[in-house]
Amino acid sequence: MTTRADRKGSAKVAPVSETAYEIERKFDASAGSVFRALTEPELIKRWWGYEDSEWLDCQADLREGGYWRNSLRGDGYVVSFHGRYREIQRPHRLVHTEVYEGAPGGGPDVDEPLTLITTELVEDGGVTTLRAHVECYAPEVMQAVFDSGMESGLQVSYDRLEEVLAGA
Amino acid sequence: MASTPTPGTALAALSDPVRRDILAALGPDEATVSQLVARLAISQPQVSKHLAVLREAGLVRVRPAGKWRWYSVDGAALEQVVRWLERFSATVNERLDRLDDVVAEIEEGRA
Repeated sequence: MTTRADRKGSAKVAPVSETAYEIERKFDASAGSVFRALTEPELIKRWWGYEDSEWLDCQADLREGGYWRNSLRGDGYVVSFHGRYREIQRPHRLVHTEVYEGAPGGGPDVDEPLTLITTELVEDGGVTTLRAHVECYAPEVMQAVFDSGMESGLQVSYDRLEEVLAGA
Repeated sequence: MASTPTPGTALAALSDPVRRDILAALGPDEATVSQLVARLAISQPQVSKHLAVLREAGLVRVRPAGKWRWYSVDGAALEQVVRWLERFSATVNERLDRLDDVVAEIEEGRA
């Protein structure tokens, strides 16, 4: 029996092309519960941001073509993303675009998506597997996305490369 | 060749399990194609094809010596890419662990 604690840190992130990567993570929950957490603002606010950030805006007009926006303020920065829902099949599939408002020329009304995210939730025996395919519109976007993860400051020594590659 | 590879190219090169096996088989040393074929039990054309992708991605170098071509991992380039992947993965995991907590509350009827 897998306990919830065992799933901490279990998300797998893997590049699948020059412009796309995939995330996979299992949850001991129904697809319906995961779908709610992904799409209801009061729930989104509790996991999407960073530990120390203050929410400025969280909207999710869950209809095809509907607008969503997450904006938060941390220690000396404001990070805002928005986009539109392209496809909604509750509780198994969600397709949405994502625009980073901090990009040059970006803003809440600018509609030039950087990424198209397809999320699939497959429930089996009380366990739901979330698989997100993130398609970036250019290799440079993919680089920027990965660079944004640099903040957590994890060190990987050369000795561990083989181990990391074997498990990647 | 010789154009500077993008990190996206390197990440894409690492997305293939056979190419990860080749990098692991090279390790810190140099090897020829035939040595890699023997170590990995895959065909010579396959090894050559994947080595070409790894070279274009800037992850593998080649040193011609007489009739042999010696391949080795560009450790600095590989370390940079793996570090990106690890740091990004850590950020994703922090977020999804919080999502897990919220989902658990929904399941328990508390959210």
